[in-house]
Amino acid sequence: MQATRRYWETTALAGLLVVFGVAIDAPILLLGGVGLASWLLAVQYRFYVLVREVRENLTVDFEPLRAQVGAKEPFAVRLSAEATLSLPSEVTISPTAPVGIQEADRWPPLTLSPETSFETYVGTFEAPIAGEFSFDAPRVQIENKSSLFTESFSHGDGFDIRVEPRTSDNIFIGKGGTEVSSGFGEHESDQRGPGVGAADLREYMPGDDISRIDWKATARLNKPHVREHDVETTREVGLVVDERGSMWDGPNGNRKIDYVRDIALAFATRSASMNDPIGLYTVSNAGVQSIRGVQATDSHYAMIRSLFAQLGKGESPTTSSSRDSRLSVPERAHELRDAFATDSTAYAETLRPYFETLRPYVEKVESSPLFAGVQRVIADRSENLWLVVFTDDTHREELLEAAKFASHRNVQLLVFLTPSVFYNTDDDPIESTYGAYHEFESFRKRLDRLTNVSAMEVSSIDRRTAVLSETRLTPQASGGRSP
Amino acid sequence: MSNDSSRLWRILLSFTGISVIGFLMWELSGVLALPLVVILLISTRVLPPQYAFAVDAVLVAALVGETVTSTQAIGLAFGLGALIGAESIRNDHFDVRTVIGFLTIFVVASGAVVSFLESSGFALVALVVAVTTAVSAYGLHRYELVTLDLLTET
Repeated sequence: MQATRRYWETTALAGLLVVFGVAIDAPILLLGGVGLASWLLAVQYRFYVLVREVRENLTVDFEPLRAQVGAKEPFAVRLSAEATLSLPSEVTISPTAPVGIQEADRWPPLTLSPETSFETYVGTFEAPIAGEFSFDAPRVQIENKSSLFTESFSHGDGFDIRVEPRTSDNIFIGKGGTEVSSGFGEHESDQRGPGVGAADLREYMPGDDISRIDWKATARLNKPHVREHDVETTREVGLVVDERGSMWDGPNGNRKIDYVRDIALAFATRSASMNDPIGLYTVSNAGVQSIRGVQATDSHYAMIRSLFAQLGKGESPTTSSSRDSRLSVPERAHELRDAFATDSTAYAETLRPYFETLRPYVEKVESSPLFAGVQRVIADRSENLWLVVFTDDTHREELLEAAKFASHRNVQLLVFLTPSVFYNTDDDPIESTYGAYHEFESFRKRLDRLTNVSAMEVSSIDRRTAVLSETRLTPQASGGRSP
Repeated sequence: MSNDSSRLWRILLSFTGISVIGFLMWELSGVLALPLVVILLISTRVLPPQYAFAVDAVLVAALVGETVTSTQAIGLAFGLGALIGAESIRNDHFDVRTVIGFLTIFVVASGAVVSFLESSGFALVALVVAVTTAVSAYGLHRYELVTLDLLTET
C-alpha cells in the first residue's frame, strides 16, 4: 500500500502532539499523539482488509475483439470488471498499452464500488507500426474512503496481438503502364506426366503404366492412348529484400519499403498457402542480413511473415560467405583482363584498355551487397528457384549485374522496382519528374529484356497518375514516348 | 452489520465519550466543562475525524494542563477515542468491529504510556511511542504485501 499525502499530514499532526506534550509535560497531548497513531493503524488495517477483499473477489477480462489487425487501423478491445465489494471504497481498473500502441480514443477507467459491481467498456487502440505486441494485465487501483492509502497492482490476464503491415490499395504493380493483378499463381513446370490437369493424349508406349491408359480415347481412336497431365511442382522462392537507406525514402507510411513490404508479405502468404519453400535474404549496407534457409514449414512461414513485420528494425548482420563456384560476370571480366595482360595478339592489344578501365566498376559491383545477396541465393538454390528481388532504382549498376548474373544461370528472376522519383518529398518541377521517370522506365525495360528476367514497377497509383496526367503523356497517348 | 446497528453504536459511543469527558472535566475545570463539551461536539461534527481529534486533545490539554491523574488521563483519552470512533463510523471510515479494535488498542496504549510516565521521562516515552508506531505500520505494510502476494508489484 502507498501512503497518501493526507496520511503523512495526519502522521505529522500526531508527531506534533507528542512533541508539544513532551515540551510542556502535558500527558493529554502525548496521549493525543498515541490516539492518532492508533487511529492510523486502524485505518491501515481496514485498508488491508479492503485490498484482500478486492483481490479475492475481482474478476477482470481484457481481450481484443480481433487477434490480428493492420497497422494504423484502430482495433477494439473489451475491458470488463466485476466484484462484489462490501467495504466503502473506489476501485478503478485501467488498461495498459505497450510501447508502440496508442489509445485511439480516451479510455475512461472502470470504477467499481459497493453500489456498482460490474462495469465494461469497449475502447480502441491503434498501432502506427506493424509487429507483435503484448498487452499487460490491466492495472487496478484501490483507494479507501479516508483517502489515506492507495494500492495498485496488475490483475487478470493480458493478451498478444499481431499488427500486420498496412495493405495499400494505392499501389501500382506493372510494366510500362499495364497493371498486373496477380504476381503469381499455380506453377507450371513445362513437364508432362501424371498429374491432375489434363494436357494431351499420346499413343501408348511400352513401359507406360497401364493405369494411365485413357480407355475412352483408346476406344475412340482404336489404339491404346495415354493421357498426359501437367505435372505440378513446388517452386522454391528466394526473396531478396533491399532495405538500404534509399528504400526508406518517401513520406511516412508511403515509403518505398512500405510498398515493398506489402508485396513481399503477399509472396510469403501465397508461398505458405502453396507449400512452396521460401527463403528470405535482406540486403543492407553491411551485406546480406537475416539469412534464413529455404524451408517449407508452418513455423518458417510464420517467422518469415514476422520478419517482414519487423523489416528494417535491424538484426545481427550475417555476411554472406559462400560463393558460387561458377564465374560471375565481374569474375569473367577479371579473368579476361588477366588473360589479355599476357596476350600479345592484336585482338588482346585492342581490348586490353577496355578491361583496364573496367577494374573500378568490377570491384564496385563485386563488393555491392545486392550482388552478393543474389549470388548467395543462387548458390543455395535448388533446381527450381524463383528469385524475387525487391529494390529501387538507386543502385542501377549492381542491380543490372545481379540480374545478368541470375540470367546467365537460368534462374527465373522477378524484380520489383520502385522508381525513386515518385518517393521524393521535394517539389520538383513536373518536367524533371517526368524525365526521371522516363529514365527509370528505360532502365526497367533494359532489365526486363534480359532472358528469364521480369521487372515490375512498384509505385503509388496517385503519384504516378498525377505525373502522367500533368504531362499529358499517358502510355496510350504518347505513341511510344511514354514509359 | 446493518445501518441501524451502526447508528446505534455511533450514538452510544458519542454519548459515552461526551459523558466521560464531561464528567472528568467537571471534576478538573468546573463549569468550563460545559462550553468544552459543546465545542468538542461541534468540532467532531465539522472536521474530519483525525483533525477533530487533534483539536479536541489540544483543548482538553489546555484546560487541564499537568493537573491530571493517571486514571483521569486514561478516561479522557477513552472519551476522545470514543468520539473519533463514532465519527469514523459516521464517515464510513470504520465499521463497529474496527472501532472496538481501535478503542482497545488506544486504551491499552494509553495505560502503558501513563504507567511508563510514572517511572520514565516524557522524551523517552515519546520515543518509544514513535518507534512502536512506525514498526507496527511498516510490519502491517509488509504483512499485506506477503499475504496478498503483492511483493512483485513493489
